Amino acid sequence: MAVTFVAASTVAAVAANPPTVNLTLPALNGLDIIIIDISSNNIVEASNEIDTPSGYTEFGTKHEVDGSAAADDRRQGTFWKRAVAADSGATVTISRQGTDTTLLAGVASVWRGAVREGSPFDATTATNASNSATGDIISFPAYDPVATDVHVVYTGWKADDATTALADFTNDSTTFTIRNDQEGTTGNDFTYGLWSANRTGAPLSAINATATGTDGACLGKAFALIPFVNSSVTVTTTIGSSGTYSTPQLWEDGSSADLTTAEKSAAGTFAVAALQRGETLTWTTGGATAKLLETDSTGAGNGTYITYGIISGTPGAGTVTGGTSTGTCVSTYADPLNTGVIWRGECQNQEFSGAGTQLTVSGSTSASTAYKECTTVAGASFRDHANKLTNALRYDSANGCGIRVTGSDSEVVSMNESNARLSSIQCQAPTINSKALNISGADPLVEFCLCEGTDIAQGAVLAQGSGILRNTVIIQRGSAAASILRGGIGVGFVYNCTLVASDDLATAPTAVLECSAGGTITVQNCGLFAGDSTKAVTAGSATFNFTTCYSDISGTSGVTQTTYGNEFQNVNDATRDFRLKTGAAQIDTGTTDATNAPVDIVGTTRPKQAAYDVGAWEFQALGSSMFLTLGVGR
Amino acid sequence: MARLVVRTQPNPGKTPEQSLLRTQEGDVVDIVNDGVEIRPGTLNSGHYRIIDLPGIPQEALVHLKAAVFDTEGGLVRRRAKTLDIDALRSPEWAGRSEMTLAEVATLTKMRA
Repeated sequence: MAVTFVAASTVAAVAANPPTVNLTLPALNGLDIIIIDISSNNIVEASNEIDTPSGYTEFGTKHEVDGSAAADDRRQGTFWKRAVAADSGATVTISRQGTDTTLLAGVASVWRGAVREGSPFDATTATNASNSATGDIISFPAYDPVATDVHVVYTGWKADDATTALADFTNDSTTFTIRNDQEGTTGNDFTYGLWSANRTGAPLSAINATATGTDGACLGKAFALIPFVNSSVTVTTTIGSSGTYSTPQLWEDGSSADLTTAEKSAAGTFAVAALQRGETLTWTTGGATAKLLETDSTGAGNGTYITYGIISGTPGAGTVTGGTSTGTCVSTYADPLNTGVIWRGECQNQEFSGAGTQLTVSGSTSASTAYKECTTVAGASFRDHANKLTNALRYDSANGCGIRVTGSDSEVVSMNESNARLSSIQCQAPTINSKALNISGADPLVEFCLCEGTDIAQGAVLAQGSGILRNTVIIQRGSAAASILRGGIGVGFVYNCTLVASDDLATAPTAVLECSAGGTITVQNCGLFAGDSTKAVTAGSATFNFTTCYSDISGTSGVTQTTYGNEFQNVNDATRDFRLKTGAAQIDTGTTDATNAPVDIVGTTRPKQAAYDVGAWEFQALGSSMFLTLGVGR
Repeated sequence: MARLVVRTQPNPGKTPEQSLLRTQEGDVVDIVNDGVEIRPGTLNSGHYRIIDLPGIPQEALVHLKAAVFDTEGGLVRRRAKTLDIDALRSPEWAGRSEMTLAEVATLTKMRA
């Protein structure tokens, strides 16, 4: 969204004691930026300083010009406010300290499309220029914005009420359009000019706007407004015994039906009671309803925003009431601060265990920028454990957060919604015929997970939706399974994963990868071990494209055969540990992929040695440095 | 040993099809052990009801969480069964925070 000029007020001017005058704002909308530029003929700031209008914030610094004639003296101050609807046509009082009767003038300009939170100005603060000589100009300073997408504004005053009409001017090949040109005879008279244009962030040299007149002294200021660019807002909540939600499933149920239209809006005047997460909000004006996802308000009297998923209607400015709490607040603007929510649940360091699917993700409209994501609180994952380099690489809830299903014929996590994400979590389905993951939504992302399953028909992990699986270990623990990982229709990508079956299963899986529904699956840097070299790497009609993969099974292009027992610390079911061991063929034989595998499953930076390793684990020779140190000492 | 978290307020999707993929009134959203505290994100919203079944293992109630999948594993319906929300709201059951397995069975019906 570009910043645009909306309107400017009539200059309000006074030359009398008290030096106070009311300025009437033009018609505007909430979230517009109001900039009030004030010029004072009195430059004795110690006793005659320009006041900051009530409710406004000064930006840049005041500056002045000491003209060759006292009548040409000028001092300039600039102030801003993010408008609310009630500012439209409102009165703003302009004033100056002291009792001096020389000119005090102010004008408001209104701008639309600037950022909706925080300062609307570029990080390069407003810069000033002045010129005390008589001349046909208004001088503006050089200005070099930090941002690359800005709307540069020049605003200036000249001590002359008889200038010719102000016109556009060009600076660095950009035409700056004259937005406002006013003159007045109050006091020692004045001319006010306002120009602006979109810029890419390149520096602008100092420049003079032509303002042909007879008197001298001018003041100019340059600054830039930052355009609003919508971004999703992430709503993060904790899951666990002391979290916001008790279980992953209750977290998931707390989301809204449409994450793509969910909004964060500025709000204030929180009253009556604390709004409660999950309750239904109703807008008094228009009757829109929404589900409260988050607020920073802890009760009546505090809070600055509400984030909600829209159920019906179009939320706008005005009073909002919580259906359960009866608490109220006032939504400040008609437009939201952000549209789109990432609903992020962070599990605490505990095991979530029970009968039946522990987490089903489904039923919300999502997008690549607005989705559900389940992960762990910082420090709560097996990836964060102090002994992560020496812990056996298998499910162990003592090492970090784990989700476990206790029953048979079930699954730990079912991701049936597009764009869902899962990371840093251990999932285990140890009982007969249960999957660690069932992924049927499109474009999922699963990474840094440890998945153990027993489903012999659909694999330890069933991944039907096209998506990405990376830096993850999948262990098939069910005997006589059809596969370890079963894919589905679409295009799937498997990067740096370790797909294995325990070596001592009564019957190894028929295939490591199975996909009977067509599609294309890209498999790169993966260890693919069935525990029986007579089995197959693939099964089904899909097209598999392998790059630098290893297996205990021969005969597949892009897959090098190696001995299972030589690759991992322990391949037996009870004592399984799928960290690579010294001498493994998978060490230093992978393809570099800084996009999908810059770190391994526990966060070790790749490559640790000469090249990327294959599989989820990046090998490092633990204890070798100690050995070398002792050797040097001998 | 089981504690049911039952949805008691509407939870519509954008379309009827999407609503099938979301828990609805009367659906058991989750089952936890009865010592598990239901945290404020759920409890304070006013959209759930907690029902304890002392002495009953989760496994005896897991059918209330079962979803309906197609043959390829795609989710068709979030819950196959539900609790009769009208009955739960009736004077007979409205004040009950504990039930027996048999009582829950009388309230259970296939989701339409």
